[in-house]
Amino acid sequence: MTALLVPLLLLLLAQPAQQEPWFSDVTDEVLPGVHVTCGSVTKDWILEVNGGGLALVDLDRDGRLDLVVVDGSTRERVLEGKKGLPPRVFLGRAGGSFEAAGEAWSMDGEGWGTGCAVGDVDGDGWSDLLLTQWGRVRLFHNSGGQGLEEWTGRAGLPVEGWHTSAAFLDFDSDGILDLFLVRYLDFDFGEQKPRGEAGATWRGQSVMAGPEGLEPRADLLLRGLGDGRFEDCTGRLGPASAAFGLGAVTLDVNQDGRMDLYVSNDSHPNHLWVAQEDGGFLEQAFAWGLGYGANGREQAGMGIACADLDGNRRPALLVTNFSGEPNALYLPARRPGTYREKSSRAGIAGPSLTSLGWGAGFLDANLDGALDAFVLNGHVYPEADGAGSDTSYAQADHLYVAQGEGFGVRPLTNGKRFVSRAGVLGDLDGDGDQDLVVLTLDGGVRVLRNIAPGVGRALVVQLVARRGDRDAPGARVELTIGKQRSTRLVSTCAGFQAARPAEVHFALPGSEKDWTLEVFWPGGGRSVVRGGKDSEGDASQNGSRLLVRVEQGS
Amino acid sequence: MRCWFFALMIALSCTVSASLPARQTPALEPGLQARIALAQSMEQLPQAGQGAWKDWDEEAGIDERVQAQYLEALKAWRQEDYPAVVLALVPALKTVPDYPACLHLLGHAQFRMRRHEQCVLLLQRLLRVAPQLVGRTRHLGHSLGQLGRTAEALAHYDLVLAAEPGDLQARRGRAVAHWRAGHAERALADLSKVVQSDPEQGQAWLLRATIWYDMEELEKARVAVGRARNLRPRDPEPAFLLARILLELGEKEKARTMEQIFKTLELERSVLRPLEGQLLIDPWNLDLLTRLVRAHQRSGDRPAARGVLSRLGRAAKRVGNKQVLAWVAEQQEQSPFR
Repeated sequence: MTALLVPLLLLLLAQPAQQEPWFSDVTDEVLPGVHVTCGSVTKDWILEVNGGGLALVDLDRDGRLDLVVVDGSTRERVLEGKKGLPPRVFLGRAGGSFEAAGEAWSMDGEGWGTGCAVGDVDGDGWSDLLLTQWGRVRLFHNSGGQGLEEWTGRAGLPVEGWHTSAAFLDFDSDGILDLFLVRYLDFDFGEQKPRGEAGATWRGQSVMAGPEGLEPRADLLLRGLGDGRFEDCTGRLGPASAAFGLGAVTLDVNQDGRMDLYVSNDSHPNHLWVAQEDGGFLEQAFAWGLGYGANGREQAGMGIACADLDGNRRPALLVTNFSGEPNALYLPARRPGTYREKSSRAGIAGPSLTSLGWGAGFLDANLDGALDAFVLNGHVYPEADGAGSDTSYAQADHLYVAQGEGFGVRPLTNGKRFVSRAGVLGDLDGDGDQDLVVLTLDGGVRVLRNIAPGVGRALVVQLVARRGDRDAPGARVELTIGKQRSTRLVSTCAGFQAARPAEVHFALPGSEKDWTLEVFWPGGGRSVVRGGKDSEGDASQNGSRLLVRVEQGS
Repeated sequence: MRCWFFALMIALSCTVSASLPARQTPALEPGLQARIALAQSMEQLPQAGQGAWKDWDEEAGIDERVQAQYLEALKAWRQEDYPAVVLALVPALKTVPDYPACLHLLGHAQFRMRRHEQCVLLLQRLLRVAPQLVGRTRHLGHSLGQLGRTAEALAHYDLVLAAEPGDLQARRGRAVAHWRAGHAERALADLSKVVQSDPEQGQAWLLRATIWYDMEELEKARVAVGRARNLRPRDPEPAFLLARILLELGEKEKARTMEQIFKTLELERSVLRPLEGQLLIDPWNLDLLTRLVRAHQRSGDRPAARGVLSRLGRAAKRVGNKQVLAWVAEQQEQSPFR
């Protein structure tokens, strides 16, 4: 009898319990009617399936996050010689709402917009915007928080190709931001054939062609010159095969203080570019165990989340993949210099198998001190709604909540299905916890407010560097409470075609005051802030949000 | 038709680790027959009442009302024509709702085509009408696992193994599910029983190695993956794992060599896998079969090439394609295995 009861009990446990959502869709209240377009809804071409980009950045430094939405285009516009749909800026307002920015912030449409990166390219103290496209890469200079000025013409950026994600980093430690550009594949409406004519099938159904059968493009490295211009130095990247690149993050994989790069590649092993002493990079994903899935299979890497989950300064990587493949969670192994793919044991593999993941990020959703993760989902093939596909076109987005040594999954919002793509975290309403902005393919830009039952307070850290980008990308921030250490790396790179605020978030338990914050500045130097004393920095309390601003050398 | 289950269970000896092709593949449109079969959703089949077939005796032979269709489906199964299995059995199940033999074979055809939700639906219906057949439904566990429904898979494997303790594939499937549920020790216990009963189970050795590697017990992992590699020399997965183990043991030269072997095997697999995936739903496609023969020939896997060649010959004969038949004969003439 027991032999039968145990399986039945397990079956009961397997049924998803009714769970209160931790994020609430507040789009109608704070950002109504913002839609994006990415080609036809039938998705006849691969260019139509990846969607556009997002950035959350305080462009006017009013203390509220502003939103940049990178829109796409249509084949008809391209063939008629019309410009793509324009990128748009929405300025943050009180309570986490947005309003369309005025003329000074407007940008013309140009190519087929894909992604966004944020960095202060000329060191004037204001965050600039870099937009990726199917088309040339564009640069917009932030004119002292008063508006944007296009600097593309003088910037020396690539003038053609399909660029997806981009990452700013200072690889040569000269205090000037450099640029890594992820590229996908060669695409031309004149040369490629649409769904139905291309002969591509998926599960017996005719679908758009690619990426297999199309030509992948190698990624690019550009050196910043400090005045908004860049020069190509891709030669500093060591040998690696060209791949269908989609996502990128900066990280310090070996804790040597130099920024490395991790790139998710579609249908190709992922790349890990490890920075060398001579300013070059070597691709070492296989050696680190970060190139393939646990079974040695290349996967269809889309987005990436990266964070130190256990305070050992060694970052974990979560890579979102195609349906039928688990999202991959790479955790540092005991032996330095190597990783294990642990998605199964961490409880991420199973729930992700029938989903196709895109944007992802680690966050402490309920401020309990353990990092959770969000994953945005949605298929590339509308045909996924057909019988026997084991998946669907619109899918529920997931929140993986830290539980013990793994994660438990719950729907991100109310379980409603979307065809989601890029996503970016930021504290929109100033209450300390991180909210989320999501781009829906051919749909609305959604704002999801964090309503998780908060356990602790948020400690938000903003850095002010003495030179270069004042946000100090590449700085490491460590919070120590008793014997517990948490670390964050400052970066604006949000993993998939998106840019996030440079501030870092920690959780403080209850009324804890006995904490120490250490900042390890890029290029050397360390600052310390102690809880309750504020020996360095500037702290302000707002509800459950404690904001600490740390200036280098102050 | 007696003992049809035993014959079928032998035919169904497929792997637990079957998984979906990652992306679409450029190929010809599947045949109309396959498209019709694939468009059918199993939800629409008429249902019998719960326990309606609880007294059904698997040894009693096939009901004569569906015998012709069942035989047609079985023939198609043997020819690896799974869409034809669907087309034969759907009318049979409309005639005799939830007839166990038909549900069982149809569920397995869906599994083979990697349509796991459909397989789950059919095999759960089978258990609803004929719970006495639980020992024959390990594929339900496999499909639940493929859908990420690990807890349900585990529960089902427990039921299967309670009825059929000697079912090694169910036991291996349960090990996979235990592993995915984070129960490494339970997975290892099941795998230990599998390899004790059948030391030739390469997949079981590989999973043991994977678990030990994950636990950073490198020497144990090395021994197990060595066994897996001997048993599955053309499989890139053991080569991948061995390369990783050697690297972490500091044997860099050996690791580099194994990494190259892995990459060669992986490249071969990247060609073979999409073709094999396409053939599951378009089994008579001469172009796909020809490409598969050539791919096996290029990789030097002559037994596999010979097997597909023979299948290509049958496919060409079916449509009277003399050109392809001549090519098949020419290739068979050149084969040293004749």
